[in-house]
Formats: sequence, structure tokens, C-alpha cells
Amino acid sequence: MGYSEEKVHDDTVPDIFIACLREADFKIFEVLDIDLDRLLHTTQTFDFMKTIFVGDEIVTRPAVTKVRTKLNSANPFVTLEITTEYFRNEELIARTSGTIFVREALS
Amino acid sequence: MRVRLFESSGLSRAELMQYGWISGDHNPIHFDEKVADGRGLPGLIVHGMFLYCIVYKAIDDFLLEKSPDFRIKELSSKFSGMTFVNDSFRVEVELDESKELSDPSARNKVFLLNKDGEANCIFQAVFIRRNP
Repeated sequence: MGYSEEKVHDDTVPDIFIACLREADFKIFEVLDIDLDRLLHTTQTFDFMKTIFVGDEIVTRPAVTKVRTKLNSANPFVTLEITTEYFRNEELIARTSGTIFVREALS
Repeated sequence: MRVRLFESSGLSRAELMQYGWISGDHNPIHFDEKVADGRGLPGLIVHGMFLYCIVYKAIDDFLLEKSPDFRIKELSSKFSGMTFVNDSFRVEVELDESKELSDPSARNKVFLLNKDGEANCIFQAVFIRRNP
């Protein structure tokens, strides 16, 4: 990411590093049996609520929070809104929500 | 007034693969030309989140220099175009000068512009004072 040592003070972690904790998010596509190469990322919002520190144990909880479908068309698609909450000792420290467009939804 | 925050001559396939390993996003449209072609894409596309992270850092560096008491509270993005591997892009910010930096209603916009100067993504940023 290019964060040099002098810009990372004490033991704080740049907030954006949590954006790399997405393994659980991808499990959703595996569970729903959606091929990754059909996915297009259309929106994403992060709300960085609390500072993260080196040594913090972060738990992520993703969920599909909205589904839209357009199946009766020449180009059927589905859009999924996935919201992930990040916790440290059960304290909510960040939330992200994004929409994923699933192309060729019926094939 | 728009301020240029960052400029890139393009991200390589190797960088996309590294990001994929770090983030867990192994979507083959980011590193397999055959798959990308099979999906009708003109080339490998850069992960939306990779670009999001780059933009975040560009804004963070800007804040550290201009207003170090502030940090990013919320960053929303809407991707309207694709950024392809090795294509140059730049990041520009347009602060809402009618409001205080920490005003949550301030419409601070950040633009990810492609090599043709078109916005591939527009971000809205909300800032907050850092904890003392």
C-alpha cells in the first residue's frame, strides 16, 4: 500500500487495511455457487468507526442484505448487496456495504 | 477547485495478482486474459477494491499534509467504468468549500479518471477529527 513507517504512528493500523479482510465475503459466492468471473463490482461504501491497532483480532460478519433480479430479459442479471460488519471484542469498529452485479444469471 | 492527488502510469498484471492474494479476490477476470476475453472484456480489469484502496490512500496522504487532525470517516464509491491493466489513471479531489471539513453533509468528491480523462469512479468522502 506504500504506507511508510513515519506515517504509521505508534501501533495504529491504516483503516483501509480492513478492506483486505474479505475472505468471508468470497465464501458467500462459493455458497451461492456463483462463478467469480460473472461478477462486477458496482458500488462500495466503508464506514470507518474506530481506530485499529496492531495485535487486534478482527472478526468479520458478511451478509447478503439486498437482492434485485431481472430475469425475464435478454440479459438476465442479479444484483446483490453485501454488508460486512467488522468487530473487535464484539465492538463494531467498521461496516462496509457494496453491490455486486452478477451477469448471465441464468446460464 | 480540483486538486490532483495521485497519478499512475498503470497497474501491472503482477500487481493485480499480488492484490488478489492479499485480498482473497481471485476472480480470474483480473489476471487470466482468456477468461476476460471469454467474458467479452477487452482486457484484464483492475479490482474495484484495489482502486478503492489506492484512492483511500491518496486522500489519506492529502489529509495528513493539509489537515492532519482529520481522517476519513466514510468513503462511498460508484464504479461507472472499468480500469484496465497497464492503463494510466489519476485521482483528483474537489472539496466542498462551502462547508467545514468535518461537516458530514459536505459533498467532498473524489474522482478516479481514466487515461481519457473520464471518470471511471466517483467517490464521496466524509471526514472526521481524529481521536486525540
